[in-house]
Amino acid sequence: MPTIKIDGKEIVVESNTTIIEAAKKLGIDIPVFCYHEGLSIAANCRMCLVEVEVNGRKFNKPLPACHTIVSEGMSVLTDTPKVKKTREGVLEFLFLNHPIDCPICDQAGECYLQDHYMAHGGYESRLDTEKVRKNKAVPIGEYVILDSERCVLCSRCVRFTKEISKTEELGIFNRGNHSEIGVVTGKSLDNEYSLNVVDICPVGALTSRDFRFKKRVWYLKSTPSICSGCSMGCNSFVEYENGIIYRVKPRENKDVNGWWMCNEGRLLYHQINNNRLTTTLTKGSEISQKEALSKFADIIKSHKNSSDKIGVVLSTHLSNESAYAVKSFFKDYFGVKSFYINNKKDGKSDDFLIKKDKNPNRIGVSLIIGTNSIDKTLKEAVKKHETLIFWGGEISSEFDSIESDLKKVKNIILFATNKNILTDIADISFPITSIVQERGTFINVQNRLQQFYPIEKHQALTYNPTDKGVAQITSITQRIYTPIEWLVNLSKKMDYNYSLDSIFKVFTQMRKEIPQFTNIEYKDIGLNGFLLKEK
Amino acid sequence: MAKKGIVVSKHKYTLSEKLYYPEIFKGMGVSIRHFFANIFKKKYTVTLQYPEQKESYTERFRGKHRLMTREDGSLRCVACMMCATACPAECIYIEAEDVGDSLVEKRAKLFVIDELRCIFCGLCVEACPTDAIRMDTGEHVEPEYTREAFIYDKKKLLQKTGRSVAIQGGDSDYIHKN
Repeated sequence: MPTIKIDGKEIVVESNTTIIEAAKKLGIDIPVFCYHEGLSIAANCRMCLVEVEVNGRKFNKPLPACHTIVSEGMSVLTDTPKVKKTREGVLEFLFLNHPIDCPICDQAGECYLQDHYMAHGGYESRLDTEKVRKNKAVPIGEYVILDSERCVLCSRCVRFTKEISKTEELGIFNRGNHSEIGVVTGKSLDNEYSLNVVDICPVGALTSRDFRFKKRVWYLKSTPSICSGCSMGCNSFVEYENGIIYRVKPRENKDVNGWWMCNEGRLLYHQINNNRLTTTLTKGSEISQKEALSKFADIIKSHKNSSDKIGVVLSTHLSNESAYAVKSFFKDYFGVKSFYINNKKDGKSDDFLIKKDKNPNRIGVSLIIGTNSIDKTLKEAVKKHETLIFWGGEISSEFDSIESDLKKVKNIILFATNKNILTDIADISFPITSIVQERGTFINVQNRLQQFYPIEKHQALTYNPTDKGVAQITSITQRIYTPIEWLVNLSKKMDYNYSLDSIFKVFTQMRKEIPQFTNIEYKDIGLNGFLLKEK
Repeated sequence: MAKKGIVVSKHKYTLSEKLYYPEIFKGMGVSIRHFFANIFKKKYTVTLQYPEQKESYTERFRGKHRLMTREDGSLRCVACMMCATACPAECIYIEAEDVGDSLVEKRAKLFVIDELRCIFCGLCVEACPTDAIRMDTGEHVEPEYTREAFIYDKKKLLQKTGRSVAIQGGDSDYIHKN
């Protein structure tokens, strides 16, 4: 455990720590381009050069902080005139052939070159020859576009395809001034994780084709969330403006997804933005919320003495809190005993982040409704019940086989986020919020309890830019409620006194009933999740 | 440090002021002199016959916006949103689109200014890296009958541009000539 000093501040770190990791612990910022925690160390950008003294003897030349392992009695200086001059020199070389086309660059606002120039550059250009021109705006895959002129040759993307995706599509070609990033002949950057290179690119060389020119990044707000694409539950940031989501980025969580996320999960936000169910419907045509609620209440009242005719189908996209609230509402007030899980079809998988099980909260929902009901399939449900209440409108894996029977069910009530074939069939459809509009928790495939947060007033709607005047966002005629809010509305309509009206009350109740949750406080879950114990 | 007060002595009236009438006639004399001067000597006249005659503004007057074009007639704006970001009144709305050509790459699909919200501060002109927006028309925003008519789109903002094209790397002919 060597003790080292960085800028006079002392810290004890483990051996095999690099200077940059130690500095990060002390909160000292060392500028980098090529260093990335999730990748191997290349030490080729030379931006992190610092002066190092060991036992009072100074190294003649500055050393790269990302590559130098600490040793006992080491003293690191990151703020000397020599270091400042080095950084300025490195930046000057990196900027030599840079096109400075920030106005049309999607990276502007989160670009390392911009940040470092403002902090460490600030010199006048001394170049009096023509800049070397390279290829601009070359699509190198389905989702990524390359601009070689902006590249600083940090090789982060090359190392990513070598070490993380293990597909090795990218490489550095040519020499000297003419070196550039490129795709290996005969390949294109089409792996499942290709959009990660856009995140790790410190400059605007690799940008996303999906996000291209959609929004300048400084307008975007960011909220921590969980990807609902599969049971892995990758941690993510949802980035949005005025309630419209523009992109999703991975959030660092070493226990779950590291720094990465798959393309499919990132592009899932299109489903949240588009084709949303926004009004209460009956057989696909609009009715008022009041009418729909009283119709729903009438149906439930008609089953007063035959509660076994009601079946409740829970989607695996429901949060633990929503699922518990729904279960306790129907079980405690109406004596409903039949709960079913609406499983989604299995999909492709790999040995990294993409899991076969495409249900983000199957483990949580089955934990809540109890193990007995897991074996029951929807096939039995459609034959057994007169009234089926679907919570979450995902198309189940059994849908094809039950479709004809489903149409024969007397009453189908649906709470859904998106319009699909179910909203046309259902007698009453209620719009519910999607994962980004409510707070809640999921349990992922590792048995880890993870929480997601709501974004500010999500508009979630089709958005029609008009040629005349400011683009209009189709206004919402009805408010979209969370599942718990719908239960409260319904209980008011039916004059029940329903007490679980917030997720915190639901969670407290859940802790009493479900042994796995007993020792968890809501605040313990935090941003990195909480690993549940097997019971 | 306490400020020293200034002692103001009360004006003392002279004899003619005290008598009142001489001063009244003096004042009337000034008015009557201007009255006849305005009638008989035109060069003293300060009134302008407004819609026909106009006061000329200084070159730095910030009037209605206009958008500039390149030499080939395409819009100079690359939709970098600098103006919209700098705008304190948030009156500029831009939507970008991909041109699909590697020279220009990006352009404005929508460029809308709400002239009712605009406070004519000129920060958008200052922020523009491509000299695409100017406020040198020397004109006020015309009155309209509806609020919608004050929302100027790309077409309306480009109408003033035919007479002047901004040239890459600066333009000596900066002032828009009426």
